[in-house]
Amino acid sequence: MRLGGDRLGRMKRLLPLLVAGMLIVNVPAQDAVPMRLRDDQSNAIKDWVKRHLADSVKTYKHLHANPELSFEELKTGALVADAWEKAGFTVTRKVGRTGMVGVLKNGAGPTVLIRGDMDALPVTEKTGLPYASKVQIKRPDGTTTGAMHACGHDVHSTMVIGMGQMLLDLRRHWSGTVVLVANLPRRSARGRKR
Amino acid sequence: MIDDGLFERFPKPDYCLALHVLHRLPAGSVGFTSGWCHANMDSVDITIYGKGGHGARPHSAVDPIVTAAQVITALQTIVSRRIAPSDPGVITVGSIHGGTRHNIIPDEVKLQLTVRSYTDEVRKKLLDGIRQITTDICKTMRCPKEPLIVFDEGYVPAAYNDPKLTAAAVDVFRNLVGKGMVFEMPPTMGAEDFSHYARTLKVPGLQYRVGTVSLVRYENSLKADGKSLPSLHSALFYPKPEAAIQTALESMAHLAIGLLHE
Repeated sequence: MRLGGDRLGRMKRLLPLLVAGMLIVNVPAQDAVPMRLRDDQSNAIKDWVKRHLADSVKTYKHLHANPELSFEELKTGALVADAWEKAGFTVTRKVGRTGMVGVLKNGAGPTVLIRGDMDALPVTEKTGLPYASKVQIKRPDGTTTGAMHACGHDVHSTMVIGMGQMLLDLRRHWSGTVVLVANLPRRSARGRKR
Repeated sequence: MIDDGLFERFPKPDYCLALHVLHRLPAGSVGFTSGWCHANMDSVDITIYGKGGHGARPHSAVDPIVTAAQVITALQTIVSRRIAPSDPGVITVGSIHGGTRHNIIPDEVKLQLTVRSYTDEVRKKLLDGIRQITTDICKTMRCPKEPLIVFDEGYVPAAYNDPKLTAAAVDVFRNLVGKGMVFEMPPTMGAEDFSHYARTLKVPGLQYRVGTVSLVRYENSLKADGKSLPSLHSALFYPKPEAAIQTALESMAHLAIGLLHE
């Protein structure tokens, strides 16, 4: 067994470390993002998704079969905007040519922006899925190419459509402002990205 | 959209959220990268000018196709010989067009490049190198005029996931899909224009990943002799819709509602 004096000496040496450690631990706690989620909110979300998943998958398959390239997302954008409007969002169409913005104010609180992109790629689909894209597009140089949601943005568009309806239906579970954005690539004049 | 007043005409966000599907994570899972996560992306268009002529009389022409071939090979030395091996950088020539027939030497060849980097310093070295090497090889090959090199102004800056927002989101994800289905991922050389949102607004932003492939395909892909999964941009890529969409909706709603309170 060690002598008390030794232990005291060790504690004295460790004290500055302990204080420093407490400070370090405290910093993130003070600045942490105020993410608060109750079980009833979580359950309400899961329940909503369970009830609407079939509809969302139907929307997804429609989008997948009807891809549009960057700056040409007119039908996709209209579909997204119509869905938000139906859900009660204030919708502004054609922000930056084909972008859509939907706003829902629901009491005091922060503003959260959720972005989903809509554009497909000049790729000829070879998945053989029943809802595979058969869309052909003419390129500026006169050649044709297939168009396909090969980057999965059809899932993203489906997500922002669903978020509109869900956030309206679950509005008693949250407080603040939601800005939904269906986006196209920024400024890239030729519409290239990634 | 940002140029068209996205942040002036509409309520200014305190948080920006987005997700992206991923081909190499199982449906029902999510992935995250804290901090720097996507690279700078520059697009470059190059036109190399030659002097057209008959394919059987190359000596009376200046062949832009042979010149382009040399340019492409030399461009690869920028990353391999001029950038420190520890610094990430990519130069890919994704498109090359020139000529119409076997026996005609064309007047010009067009190249399209994508250029990736993380730091400003490496980005500058890559872009300067592309200009210098292309110009000098064209000169060496006696092209009748300097190449046209256009750097796209709409460059996409590297993207940053706010570490505190990411940490809070990861807690939520672990409760939602289970610890084993939340994957930490290294940064990629992919680019993401979502980087403009948090960067322009100076607020926390997070873009996370949502898995897409069935568990069977995923586990098979991990085996040594397993089938690799078609990547994003592949003509064979497809998600398992039900599980991917369920996870996308549930995860995004948990984050949004978790943040939306007084």
